[in-house]
Amino acid sequence: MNDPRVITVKKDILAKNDALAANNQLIFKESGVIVVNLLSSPGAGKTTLLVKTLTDLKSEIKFAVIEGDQRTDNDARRIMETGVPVTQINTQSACHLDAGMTFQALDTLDLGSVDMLFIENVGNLVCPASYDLGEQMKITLLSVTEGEDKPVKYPKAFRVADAMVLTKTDLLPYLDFDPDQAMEYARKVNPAQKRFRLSAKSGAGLEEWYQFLRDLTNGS
Amino acid sequence: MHEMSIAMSIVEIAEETAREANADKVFKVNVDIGELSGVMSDSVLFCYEACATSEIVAGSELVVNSIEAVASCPSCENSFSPKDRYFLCPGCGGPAGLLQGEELSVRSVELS
Repeated sequence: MNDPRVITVKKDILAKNDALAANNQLIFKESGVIVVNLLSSPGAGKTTLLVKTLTDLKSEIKFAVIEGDQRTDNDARRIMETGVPVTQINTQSACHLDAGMTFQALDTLDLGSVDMLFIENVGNLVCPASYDLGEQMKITLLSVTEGEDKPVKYPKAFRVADAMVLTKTDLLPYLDFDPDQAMEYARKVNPAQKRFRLSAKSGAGLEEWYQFLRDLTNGS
Repeated sequence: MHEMSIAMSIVEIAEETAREANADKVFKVNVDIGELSGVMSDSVLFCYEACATSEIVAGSELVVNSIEAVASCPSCENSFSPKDRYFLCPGCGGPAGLLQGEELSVRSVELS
């Protein structure tokens, strides 16, 4: 038997996903739609923040939403009540959305008439951080009912995010959570990141978040 | 747990490489996994065994080369290990970039 041959490959393991993501990105660019991929652990308040944001800004910005969950269309039904077009992806056993699933979901949306598409990823601070969907921006949410040190425990989810949102700040009086410490951890992991503190329930901090979204759709 | 899909992609790349090289057997696959790639090596190894089932890759060995994270400061050119995942330069306190540690790639395939 001949000696084994060694073939140098140097191929990115996620190359297939990255190629599909690049294709999605082209579609988004041609349609002139800004795409935001929302990441967080389960229950951090992604859907609640979305429902509030869509309700308050839908007269200014034309939105659409892709909802990612392993099972159920519960979140899509909550979004539907706002009147914003939504499509649900059920990943079944998968712990993250990938670029291929995202592409399939685009069929059901009229991107030409959309300014901003939110993709709510599967609640998980690990896996979604590795899969680009073709979005312009990832935003990671952290709720005050989690630990302050989540940014250093799950650094990738915070390193890949251009912005971070601390949610449920109305609960701070009842918790030992130190929001400054949480922001400092996030700054250490990703110094250049834009950070918000807000409560979708009380409305505190929402205006700054809304202005950020307006600026994104205006290209600034 | 996205290590299963990572392992499946590794198997696909190994099979493709073997087909392109007209090989009928893969013996070993060498991969680079960075400390900050968000992927657990042990779990990729476990999943690889479970999904390397086609005749061409069955029984092949997956070798993980772990790559430690190295950050560097653009202003004072200091390189450091981002201990505790901190990306602030220990010298000047400025924001640092990552030199290595997010790798997730197949380096080489040993085949017949």
